[in-house]
Amino acid sequence: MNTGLRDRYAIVGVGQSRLGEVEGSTALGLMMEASLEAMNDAGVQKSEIDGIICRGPDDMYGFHQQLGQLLGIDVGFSTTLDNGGASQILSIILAVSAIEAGLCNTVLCGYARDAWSRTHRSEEARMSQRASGAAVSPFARDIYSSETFGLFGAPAMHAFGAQRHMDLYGTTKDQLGAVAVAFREHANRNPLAQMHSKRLTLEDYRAGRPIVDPFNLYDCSLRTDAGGAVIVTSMERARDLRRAPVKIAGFGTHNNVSGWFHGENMVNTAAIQSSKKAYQMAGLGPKDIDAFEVYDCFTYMALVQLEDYGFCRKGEGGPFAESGALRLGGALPANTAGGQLSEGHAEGMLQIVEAVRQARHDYGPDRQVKDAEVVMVSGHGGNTVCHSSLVLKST
Amino acid sequence: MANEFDEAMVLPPLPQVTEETRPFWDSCKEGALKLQRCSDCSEFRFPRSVACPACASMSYSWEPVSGNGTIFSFVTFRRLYHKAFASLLPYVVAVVELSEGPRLLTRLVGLKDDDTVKCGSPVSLRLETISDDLVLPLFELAGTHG
Repeated sequence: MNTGLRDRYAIVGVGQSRLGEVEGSTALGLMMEASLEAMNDAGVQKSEIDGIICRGPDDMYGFHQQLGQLLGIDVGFSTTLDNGGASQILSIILAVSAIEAGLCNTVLCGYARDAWSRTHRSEEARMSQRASGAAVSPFARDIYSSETFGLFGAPAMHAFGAQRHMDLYGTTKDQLGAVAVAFREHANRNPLAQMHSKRLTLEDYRAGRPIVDPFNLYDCSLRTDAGGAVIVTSMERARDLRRAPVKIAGFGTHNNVSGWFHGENMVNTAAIQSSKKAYQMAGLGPKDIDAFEVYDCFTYMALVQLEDYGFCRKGEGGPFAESGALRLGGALPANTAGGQLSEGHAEGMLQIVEAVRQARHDYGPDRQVKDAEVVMVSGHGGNTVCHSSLVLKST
Repeated sequence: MANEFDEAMVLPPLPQVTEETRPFWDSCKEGALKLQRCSDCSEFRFPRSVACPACASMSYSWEPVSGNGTIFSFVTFRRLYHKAFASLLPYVVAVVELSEGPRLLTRLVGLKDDDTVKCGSPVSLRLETISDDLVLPLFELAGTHG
């Protein structure tokens, strides 16, 4: 762990695109919206951007090249990442690494998707979505022939973990519901959130449409069109820019690429090792974290990370969530903009944007975590086994 | 031959049978599930690989397994993702840990309304013929066959 990197780099600007069901939008267009807002927020001209690390839909080849073309710039370093929801924090880790290596100085990091628009764009797309969900191939695609046995979609993969956690530790449906309800309350305070105007009580949660037990509709994140972007540079350069920089205090990664079904990976996730590295680099521990922007593709993933990041003991994520700790004003305010369950699902990118805003104290009292100085962000994905962690600190 | 997908008149996505996976699917058709077993350290393995995940040896043979195991975890599908499964809803997909060690992804069959499925529940193999070309290694709660 290179503790020498602590506090030497910063996020100097953030941006996000229109968000939600943005009729006719494209991932690249949303990426541009977010990128330009982030540059404007930072007070950085596009000619000063000499690195691009981004990600779009996984079937779009060379997303970083397409973004650079639209921006009309050449750069010292650029690439597109392939670690699913862990990629977005990884883009910041790589940005720091590339600047440290002298390959570039000011890096645009971002992610965008058109998850809602692309399935509503044509009648054909709507029909195939309706008929068969994710599965349109005549052949099973993975090494387990999952689809041959009736296993489809990300909800089921994560539901295996939730079920095992329930059987090992007595975690309940209502405890998963406490996660969904807490994040929805935050979305109700966020006028940009996809679920801003929709309340969710525990009773509503219990009555949710069944998907794949133990998950119902409210355990699953949203289908969203959205982009998010941040600008990363050194602290020396950050001091000359428009906004107060937010320091990158530490980061970590860990990938359980042996698989979700291997060992106890589905209940002891890669977040354990990833967060440990991030805490070490930052010289901080769980008690120092003022807010947690947690990757919540499903309620269970947020719950298990409460344990794996050390906020409570293994097996106690359920009672911890149920205690109200995750609410604004609670012991560990989490997903303060609503998260992927209720703000919108941009694969963790919006969690990074929100963490910066909380660390900068951008909000009024209804949304601001009081005296927030240290914010932890998590990213999870890539067939459920890749993880990344980021500790941000106010200046 | 009649099978559980007849009513849907459509088969689920089929396994991709390759040089590496053919012995697995052939063993199901022959009525005795076989997995790769390392010739050096004797570990069984699944999914298939050219090398042993325990000792990296590339020598192996295909050996029969007992078909006994326990449920590592499971999920119950209540939403339809593929029309082949329409008549099976709700159905249970499980990760089964065989007594030989490897974990298989499978589907549980023969469940009755009052059956309780839990992580750790003992299960046994039930080979189900889907078509002339395909026999699936499915599982049932132990002691329920009949």
